[in-house]
Amino acid sequence: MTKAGERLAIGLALLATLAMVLPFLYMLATALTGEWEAFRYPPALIPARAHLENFPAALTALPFDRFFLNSAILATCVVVGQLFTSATAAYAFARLRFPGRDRLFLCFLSVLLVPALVLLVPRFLIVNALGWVDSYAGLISTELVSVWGIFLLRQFFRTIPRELEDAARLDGAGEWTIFRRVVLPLSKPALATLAVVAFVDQWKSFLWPLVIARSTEMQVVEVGLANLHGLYYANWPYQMAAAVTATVPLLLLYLVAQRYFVRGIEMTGVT
Amino acid sequence: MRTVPRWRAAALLAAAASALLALAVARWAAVRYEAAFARRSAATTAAYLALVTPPAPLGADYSLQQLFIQTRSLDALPGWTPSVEVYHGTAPLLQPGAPPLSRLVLDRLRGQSGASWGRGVALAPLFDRDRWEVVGAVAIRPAGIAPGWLGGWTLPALALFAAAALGALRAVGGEWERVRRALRAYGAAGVLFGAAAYANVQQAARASTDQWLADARLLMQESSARLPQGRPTLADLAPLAGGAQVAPGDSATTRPTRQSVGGVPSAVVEVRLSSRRWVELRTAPAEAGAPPWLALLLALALIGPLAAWVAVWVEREAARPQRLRETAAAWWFLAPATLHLAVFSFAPILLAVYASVHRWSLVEPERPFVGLANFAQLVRDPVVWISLRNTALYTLTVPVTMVVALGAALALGRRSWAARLVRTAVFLPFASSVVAVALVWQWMYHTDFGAINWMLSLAGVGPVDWLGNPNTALIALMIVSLWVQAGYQMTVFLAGLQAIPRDYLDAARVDGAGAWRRFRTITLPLLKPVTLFVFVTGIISSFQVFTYVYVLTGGGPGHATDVVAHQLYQAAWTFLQFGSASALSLLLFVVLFGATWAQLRLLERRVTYD
Repeated sequence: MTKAGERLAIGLALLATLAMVLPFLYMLATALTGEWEAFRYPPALIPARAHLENFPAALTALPFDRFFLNSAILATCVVVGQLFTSATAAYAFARLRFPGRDRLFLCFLSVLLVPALVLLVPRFLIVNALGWVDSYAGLISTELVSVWGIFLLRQFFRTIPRELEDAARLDGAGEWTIFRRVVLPLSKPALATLAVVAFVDQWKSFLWPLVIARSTEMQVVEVGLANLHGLYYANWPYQMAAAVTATVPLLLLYLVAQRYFVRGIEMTGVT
Repeated sequence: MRTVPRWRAAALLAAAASALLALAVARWAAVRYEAAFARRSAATTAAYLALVTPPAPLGADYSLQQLFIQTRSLDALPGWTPSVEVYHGTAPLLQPGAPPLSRLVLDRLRGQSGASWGRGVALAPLFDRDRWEVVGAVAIRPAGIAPGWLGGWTLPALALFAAAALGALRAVGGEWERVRRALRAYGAAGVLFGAAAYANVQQAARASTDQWLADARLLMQESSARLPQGRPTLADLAPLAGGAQVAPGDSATTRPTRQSVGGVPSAVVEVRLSSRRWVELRTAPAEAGAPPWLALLLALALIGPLAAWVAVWVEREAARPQRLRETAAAWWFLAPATLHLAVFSFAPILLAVYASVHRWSLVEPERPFVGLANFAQLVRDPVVWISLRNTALYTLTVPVTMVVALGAALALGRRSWAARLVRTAVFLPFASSVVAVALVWQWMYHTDFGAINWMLSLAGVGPVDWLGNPNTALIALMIVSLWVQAGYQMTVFLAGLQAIPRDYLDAARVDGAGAWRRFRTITLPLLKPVTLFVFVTGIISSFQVFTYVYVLTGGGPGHATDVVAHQLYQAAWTFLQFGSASALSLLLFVVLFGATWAQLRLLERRVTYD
């Protein structure tokens, strides 16, 4: 690459980084600004004094501790549920022979033909008929199976050499034992990928919690944040303080588990 | 080999259970419709008697003699079918020898508003003329609504079903082609049998509406003739209608007919009050609610064929116990996911279809069948079209984002720490909270104090009301979407670029091809599947955009940023029109079908090639 091209690339990369990071810095800066200081012109990136009191004030304006607990319960239950249902189904599809296997797998995949938004209303009607509106059961139950997860794990299980299982089989191990003792331990990276993707998906999900959780005690962080926006419309420091708090767990997870984030996207995007 | 006869016995048992269950459910459903008719008829008859019977000299109670005469004359009405008994207090009027009503039953009637049903008789409270005190009861024993257990086509269908079942079970273990034919015949007989059983239910439903309309018509006409003080007003007749609509009418047909009234299918009968005066009695036809029974009856009737199919399969596989064990294990492994998908993915699709042709509100218990009225209403609604247009415009972010993301992927594909850092930064927005991102952008878009307008003012561009101006609001949303999605798409492109063999590019470089040429002739063609995938999934997800719209603009200003998802949310959770929202869901399904189909094909290709 020529010298000028190199410089251009570096310049563009710097610009991109700034464009991506600045809004987050602005979020943090406003979160530390006094309520009236925020309405200063021109806007200052660095507040005169760090108004740390914005954080407790914003987080108690609505019961955010409860919201975080709800988000954590939702995401954790869904992760556990999806790991279980995806791994079992993927094992059957990848390793066991039974009549109609390929047709059933296509049938599973055909769920991907239906966009999530199309399922929103009828799923709500079903959950409502079950009496689960405004409960953890309603929040969690619909998310416990992910066809993406089944697909992802099936692809991974198929790469595990069969010889390992055959050895166990000769020792008289049943399918469940092979699944638990041989296949699952070898699939830790794929399981971790699915877990991270499912966790982030649930933490970020908005529409389903919005329609299912009616009472304040059942709201998740994302919906609580939107409600705070409605209540403290003009108080940007409060909103930004809550936004920072909501983002921190995800960014931490991203920094710790970046590999799995990327792998999850790669595996759904390209194999 | 000793297990084989046991399987065959189980299949036989399943066939019997299948037939009995279907018959019993069909009968039960038909009797439910009969009961519905009788309860309605009893209430109407009670209202009729209250209207035409002159009062006793003292109080609001009726003259016993008059009540007797009016009741007796009911049987003389031409076309009157149910048998009626009226209790004055607890004493039966028509058959003095019959056992009296128990006090307990009468007390219970006081406590409830409608009629009750038990032991083939419907009981409705008879109120005094002040409509205050319950002075007796009207009992209706319906006749001729529900066909018998084996009425209609059920008997021949049952015979066929039994014959097919025996044929299939005899064929088990024989030549494969014969078995398959027999099983297929068995399945077809099951469908026929289920349909025949459903025909009885449907007939009972129809008859219950028709019979009530005919009876109510008779009673209205009779009350018009009998009323001592002259012609009854519509308000007088309203209690007789019991929930049905009474409207001025003009036609002369006297049989109940089915019509569409304002898009809602209705059962209608014309009532002649005098030579010049007709009213129309309209009600929801009971058979419109019958189709769920068809699904249930077919499912029950197919239990037998399904069991026979399993028996055949087990018998065939009995020689290979390993395969049998593997299949059983597979179904245990698949059970959680399969059940969940059945309840929360496949059932909702059917429910969406069902709800889309009904008026479905969570607050109203009535869910009448409305045909395609929900769809017609959607198509006529200009806001729906605006939201579709906005959604289509919004998806234009996908190609733009793709260009940016591909550029970033090409520039940042290197292994240096700087490239890694920039990659991490570009991916940050996608990894963070959606609402938090929406909020910070709303703050940056602020007209007077936002960072964006401040930067523009440095360039001399005057304050832009980003989210308040209909011309810029959608663009503002699209910029947020680009900012978030670029990192995601870049990651996918990076993976795609890494899969391209370096040799190709090196060989081209040796041949003297420039960077642009290498990109156009090698990278881009090899990246095509990935590009297609990013495009298709991008379209699918941006067609469902909701959170940014909900938080940033609420669909405004005007409807400038109203998108399909927001329309759907409002139809269901603001206006509680779940039928209409279901129709919109299906519309979205159709619009997106091409894209989702392409996505599945791309995935499938990967399934077959690895």
